[in-house]
Amino acid sequence: VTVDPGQGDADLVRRLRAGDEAAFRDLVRRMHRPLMKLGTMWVGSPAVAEEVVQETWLAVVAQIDRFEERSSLRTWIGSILVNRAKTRGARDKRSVPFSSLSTEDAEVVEPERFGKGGFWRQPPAKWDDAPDALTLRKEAREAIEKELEAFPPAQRTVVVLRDLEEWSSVEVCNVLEISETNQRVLLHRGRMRLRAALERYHRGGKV
Amino acid sequence: MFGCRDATLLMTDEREGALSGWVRAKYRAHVFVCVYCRRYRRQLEQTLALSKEVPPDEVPARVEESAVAAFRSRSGT
Repeated sequence: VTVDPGQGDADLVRRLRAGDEAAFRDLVRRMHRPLMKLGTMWVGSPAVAEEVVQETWLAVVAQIDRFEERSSLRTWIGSILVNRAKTRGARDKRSVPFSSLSTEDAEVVEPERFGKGGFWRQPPAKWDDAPDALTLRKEAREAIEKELEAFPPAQRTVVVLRDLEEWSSVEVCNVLEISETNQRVLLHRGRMRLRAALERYHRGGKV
Repeated sequence: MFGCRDATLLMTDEREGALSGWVRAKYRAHVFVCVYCRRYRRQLEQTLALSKEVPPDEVPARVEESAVAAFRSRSGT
């Protein structure tokens, strides 16, 4: 496992060990989306994932003195959650999210758009270069959120952690225990899908 | 033959520094001459920029308060 010490973690860990409640509260808030996405992969329902998130925080509080800082703090917390979610998922007899993961190269999201020789048959439509207006940006963000909901769980988690939460690829690979290659395949497929959703939005069609 | 289809599939690999040698050379040469692949790449970047702006989910109060309560009792002992 590659080491990924998180930036600024040492200071945060010191504050947590010293009982800094504001720092802890801030961490709980920042980690909520990543933990919920990770948990949902194995347990399915958001309600159960929330229970697992709660248990995870109790475990983090109990174990913070034993955190050895060989990984980033968020990877460590994420791994605690993943272990618990896997146990819970197995108990509830849920399928494993990566069992269907292809190790092949990424597939084209819109294969019909390429013709003979793999050249564009329907090239990407030009976007207005001005989604700067606040309402437009808001609508575009909503299109992304909506499309993410339709993703397979593993793909959604990778895209949320990498692109919404800005975790490093090392952190994502460590917490999910997948290879860099698999991670990139999931990420790229996800990004292609989101781009396609934004293209539909730019065309003025329904997202 | 290295087409647009191949180029679009390698864009994240290139961005993450995972391409090397001959494949990277073919990829770069293709994108350099292909206006549509450059547009596709730009749109992926715009997609990424928008993704970063998606607001985070709020923590339900029960989750936050149960975590903070545990934290307090730890600090108290």
